[in-house]
Parts: sequence; C-alpha cells; structure tokens
Amino acid sequence: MAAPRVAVVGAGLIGLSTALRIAEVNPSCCSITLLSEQFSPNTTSDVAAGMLIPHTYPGTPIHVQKQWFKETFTYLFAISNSDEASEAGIHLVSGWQIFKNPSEAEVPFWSDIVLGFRPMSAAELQKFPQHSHGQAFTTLKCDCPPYLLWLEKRLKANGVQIHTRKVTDLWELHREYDIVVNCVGIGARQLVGDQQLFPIRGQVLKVHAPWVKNFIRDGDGLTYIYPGIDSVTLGGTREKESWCLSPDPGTTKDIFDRCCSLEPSLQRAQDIRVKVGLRPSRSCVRLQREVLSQGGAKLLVVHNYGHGSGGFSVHRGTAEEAAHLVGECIAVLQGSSSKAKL
Amino acid sequence: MPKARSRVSACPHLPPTSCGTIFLLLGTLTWTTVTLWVSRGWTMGTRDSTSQVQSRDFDPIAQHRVRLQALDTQTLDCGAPNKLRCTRGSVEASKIHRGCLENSAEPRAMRIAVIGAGVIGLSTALCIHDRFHALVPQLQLEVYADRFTPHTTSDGAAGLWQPYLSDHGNLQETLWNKETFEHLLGYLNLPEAKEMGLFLISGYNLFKQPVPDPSWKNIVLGFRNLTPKELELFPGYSYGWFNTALMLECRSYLPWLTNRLAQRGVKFFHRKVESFEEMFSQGIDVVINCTGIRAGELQPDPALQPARGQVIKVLAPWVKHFIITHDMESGIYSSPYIIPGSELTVLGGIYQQGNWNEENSAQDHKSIWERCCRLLPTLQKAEIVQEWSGLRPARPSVRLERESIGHGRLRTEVIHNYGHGGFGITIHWGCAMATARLLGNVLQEKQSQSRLSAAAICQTAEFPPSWPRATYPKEVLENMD
Repeated sequence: MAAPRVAVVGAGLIGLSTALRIAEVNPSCCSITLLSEQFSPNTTSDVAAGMLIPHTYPGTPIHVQKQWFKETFTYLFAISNSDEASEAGIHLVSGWQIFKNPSEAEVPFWSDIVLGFRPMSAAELQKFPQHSHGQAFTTLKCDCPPYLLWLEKRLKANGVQIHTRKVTDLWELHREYDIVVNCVGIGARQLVGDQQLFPIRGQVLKVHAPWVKNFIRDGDGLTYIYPGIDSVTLGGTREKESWCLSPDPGTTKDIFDRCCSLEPSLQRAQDIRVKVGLRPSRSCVRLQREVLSQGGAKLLVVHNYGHGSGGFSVHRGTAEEAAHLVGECIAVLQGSSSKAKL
Repeated sequence: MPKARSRVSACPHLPPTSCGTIFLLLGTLTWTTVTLWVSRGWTMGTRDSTSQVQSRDFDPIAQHRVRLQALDTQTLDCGAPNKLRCTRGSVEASKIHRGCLENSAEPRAMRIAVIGAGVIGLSTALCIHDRFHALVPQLQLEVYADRFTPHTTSDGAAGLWQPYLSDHGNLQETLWNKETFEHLLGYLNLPEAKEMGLFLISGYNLFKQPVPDPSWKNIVLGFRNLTPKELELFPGYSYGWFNTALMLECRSYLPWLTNRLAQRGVKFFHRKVESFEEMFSQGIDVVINCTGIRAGELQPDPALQPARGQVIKVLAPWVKHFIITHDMESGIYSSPYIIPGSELTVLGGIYQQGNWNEENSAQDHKSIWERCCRLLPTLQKAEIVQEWSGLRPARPSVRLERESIGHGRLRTEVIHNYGHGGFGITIHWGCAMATARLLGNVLQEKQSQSRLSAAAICQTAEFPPSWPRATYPKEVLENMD
C-alpha cells in the first residue's frame, strides 16, 4: 500500500513536537502534514513562560508523569548544551520556589530530575520575609516563539508539510489522510466535544527587566517571575472555566504588585505587555487511539491533548507516546491492507 | 570667610621673622574682614549641616566668648577692651587672639580630598560623608580625578562579587569582603537596586580537581558542590561549586555614587593630581589616596603591579549564570570565564602580571573567544559588541593605612586605599569603612592638636590646665576608634 498519510492538527507546542517525534520515529514510512489555524506567536504555548516545573495530573500515575518529565528534561538539556541552544530558545535558569505554609513545602516527585534541588538556606529566605520555607533548584526554560519556530524549522527539514487550515471536524480529513493526530489543545472542546476538557485562564505580563536572572515562584502557583531571553514573564492567574481572551487591567495591576513584592526591582521594569492564554486542562492528558468510521470509511485518530499547565514539562514524553500510538496505527493499516490482498 | 588662610606650614622656606610679619599683615586683614562681618549684625545662629562651609555666618568673637564660658571659668579676657588691639600691645598678644581663633578648630573648614573616582574613590567619599557630615559640619569633601566613569578601571570589570579562591590567611580582607556583601544585600530589595546596577546572580565555579572550600563560602548564598549531572554541562571539569552572589555593574554604580555625592555638595575636580604636596599647598587637610593602578605616580610602590585583563562583551541574553573556570597552575582569571550582565555578557580569562598595555590585543581576543566558546558552545551565535582592556591594581595585600607626610606643624595626613587587584568591587565597602575609621582618628588627633596649641597660646592663669573634650559633639568622639 502507499505510505500512510498522517495529519497532525495543531501547531502549538504539542502539535509541533508530536509531528517532529513521528517524523523521527517513522522516518520514511509515512508522509506527515501539519495543519493548524494558528501558528506561533498566536498559540496558547506562546503565552506560557515555558518553565520546566511539572504540574501534577490527578488522573495519571506519578511514575508515568515522572517518565514524561525525565524524557523532556533530558531532551532539552542536550539542546541547551549544544550550539543550537540560543536558536531553540532553551536555556538553564536557577531560582527558588517559596512557601508561606510549611506543609506545602514537600519534596516533589521531580526533585531528582531538575538540577541541584535542595531546601533554601535561612540566608536565602531573608530575601522573602513573608515566606518561611523554600526550595532552590536549576531547571530549563523554553522561550516561545523561538522554540516553536525552531521546531517548525526541524519539521521542514524532516520533510513535513505545513498548511494553514481550520479543521472544524476531524472526519473532514478522512479522504486525504489515513491517520490524524489531534493536538488541538483547548480547541478539542469544540472539535471533538470533550466535556472533560476545560480552560484555566491565565493572564501574564511580559516585561523588559534584564537584570532579573533568577526565577521566583510562589508555591501557591499564582505568583511567579520567570526570566526569559528577551523578557521576564510575570504571573499570573488560574481562573477555571473562564474563556475570556481579553486582558483585564485590574488583573494586570494585581499581578504586577504581587511580583514586585517578591522582587522590588521590578518596579523599574519597562515595556510591559499583557497576554492571556487558556490552559487546556483535564484530569489527565488524553493520550489514546480512536477509530472514526462512517459507512465503510475509517479514520484512525490519535489524541494528544489536555496538558493543562504542564505542557512544556511533559511535551517530549507525550510526543513519544503519541508517536508510538501512530506506529500502532500504521501497523494496523498495513495489517488490514495485507489482509485485503489475501 | 577669609580666602587667604595664613598658616605657618604654607611657607616652610621663609625665615620665621619674615613669616611673622607676613602673618601679622594677613592677620590684620583677617580681623578687618571679620569685624566688617560682625558689624553687619550677622550672628552665629544654629548650624545648618547641609550648608556649605564657605557660606556659614561667622562671628569669631562671640564664639570665642562662648567657648571660654563653657570652661566654667570667669568670663575672661586678656584685659583688652577691644580684641582687635590687645592692650598688651605687642605682636605676641595679637598672635594670642589670632591663635585662639585659628586653633579653636570648629569654624575652619576641614578639607578632605579623595584622589581617584573609581569604585574605591567614590565609595570611600560617600562613606566618609555618611559618617561625618552631620557631626563635623565644617567637613568639606572634594574628589579629584583625571578619569571619571565610564573611563575608569572599575567600568570595564564585569562586576561580579567574588573574592579570589584563597585569602592567604588575610582575615582582614575576608572581613572587608563580607562587610561589602552584606552592605549590598541591604539594597537588594529596594527598587533603586536597578539604578545601582545591583542584582542577584547564580553560577558555577569549575575545577579540574577537588579544591578546598573558599573563605567566602558562608558569605554568598546557597553555596554547594556541583552534582555529577551539572558537571556534564562542562566537559573537562570534574569538580565545582554553585552559589548565588551579587553583580554590581560600575557603569551604573559609579554614576549612582556620583549623583549621591553631588547631591550632598561634594565637589568634583577633573584634573590629574601630580603630588600630595600639591594638595596640601592648596589647603587640603587630609588626602585619601584611591588612585588604584597609578598610585605609584604619587608615591613609588614596587609592590603595586598591573595585572592586565582583557574582555569581550557580547549579546547573549540566554545566558543566566556566571561560569568561572579555574586552572590552579596558571593562576586566577587566566582561565576562561563568562559573566552575564544586565545587558551584555562579559567573556574573559586574561591575567597578565606586569603588562601595562591598555590596548586590546588580537591574540588575547582569539584566546578568550575560542576558550569561552569551547566552554559554552552556544556563544558562537552571540554578537560581539565591545572589547576592553584594563589594568587590575594588583598588590600582595591592599594598602590601607595612614601616612604622615612632613614633620611638626607641617605634618599632614594621607590615607592610602589602593591595591585591590581583581576584587575591588568585592571589597570596596569594607575598605571604605576602614578608611573612614582612619580618617576619624586623624580628625580626632587634629582636634587634640588644636586644643594643645590653643592651650599653649592662650596661656593665662584663669584657664584650667586641661581643656574639656567638648569641641566636637560626643557622637563624633564615640564613633572614632
């Protein structure tokens, strides 16, 4: 049979990294096309800071999440250490996660994957008089758009076709493609009607404050300062079920004040830009195969969406699993085609 | 305020009698000026510590009377109804009163000149002003330099707070480093930290073999050894440290210091000082010598040698950590280092003892570039923006001490504060405070001297044998060690 035609829908972090992994794992046995309505810098991924600090999915076993994080960290660590690091937007950053409540300061499952994880010393905590405990470590940051653009470049080098297209129904692709990989993020609510998927709205500020070299994250997850290549991301909010993509000025001031209380020099920050993203949240990432059929026609689907606030931390691991599922789909197709020959 | 300040020490070459005549004439001029002021009805009033010394109102006769009354003696005069013309009617008698006034210290300006406007000179000036301006209102601080920011040695440095690996048992320097770090930490949580060029930064020190922990391990934040995973980032290095320290960029810090000094009325003079004598002949009372690498031009010092450095400044904003490698054989800062600043990242690794050349060398450029790119391959994509060379003022130890120049009544004081090598920024505030303490000693001694000479001159039976220690307020005396 002809090489299976694979379409990846979605050009955020998950779509791009999944398409790349499929191309790497199945080099010549399928053709891959990437379809998306939005591209960088207009994806949800572009709003995120891209910090490798995992989110815990209640619906996924910890060892699986740990594996995903480890694969992602190892992959990005190698890039950060190569001469492609600056183009890919991947860099190491050290800093602190601080807690007001000692009970929150447990050692997380990922502490041995990031670098140099240890409790903060009393001297370090003096910088944060309102917090009583903290953890210091070094992790990686993926700056977007650079990382997404770098992924797009790698895709093209791997022969992946990229088209701008709004897909309103996966079935519309059944004639042109054999396998569809669904990486549409928050769009899955509409596209496949997944009611378990819901937005958690995040508003952030991106500011020019190049003297800030360390990250600071409040353990409550609401206030954070993440220094990137050309800007520092100040956050944030976690508003469940809010679909509003417009920046809220009151929220902007609140974020700024909260961050300035952790890092007073931010009062001198310039060039403040406000962004909003809808985290595609779910109790667990939907990583599974599905077969759509109408009449005699079939479409094999691999879902890879619902990463919530943890997309960057696990993207390579879930891309790996999705590529594996695509491999299974290819095997199914080849099996049925050989059956057809008999 | 008389501009011509007559002092015996100003004309060491003239015989005493001619001197005496000159001073008598000058003294008369002084008296005339003074009485004109008095006759205009200006009163001594309260001291406004923010006003310049020159503009202070001055009533020497009233002050003289007040001082005598403070001695808790009978109201006293030498019997002359008119102090301008003492009835003792002799040159000596006039001298007595003139001596009383001149040596009653307070009204006369105390001129302190700081030579040098790098990080050492400016911070020392600020420390001195902080410590003494309110308590010694006649203090007049001046800064002399032929180079100001951004043309000083300090401006070229990356600005990382980090002492050398070993203090060679010099605990004094370790203490000054600590005082500097803690002083700077105090500014970290203020918004003006940005104006100062001050921020926290974390990073790596790398070695090819295990080494003892440094003297500063408990001064910096979060000091620890590197994990094996971290060492994977740096092939060729098998041991290292991680810690969080401070950056203090002099391109911002020196202007910040300059602004603070200017706001407080400190005067700046853009010129090269050729000798200490030049300063004293202009009426400077104490010289603070912060001339760095060129201290030898004011006074030969074979212990002071240049340790030439060269750096390349690049645009590499993805680098968030300092990386300093060490080669225990070739010596400090002769191994590549990468230090990210607020705008540019500094690449270096040159330390050439005895090399006075301030020009950039193509060979050094190549050496820095190749070694740093090997250390951090991603630097190959960095755009080169600037190149700079400078001379670290290297010395076996910092010269921080007093020196009396001249003898007897011609004796003047220099306080040296130079020779900070490649750790000037790291140690600057501790040295500034130590210099200020030495100045305190000098000021106290000058005050004692003036009491003694005043007592010697104003010898009448009514004066008690011991002059009370009340000329300076008690806060000043308590602060002098």
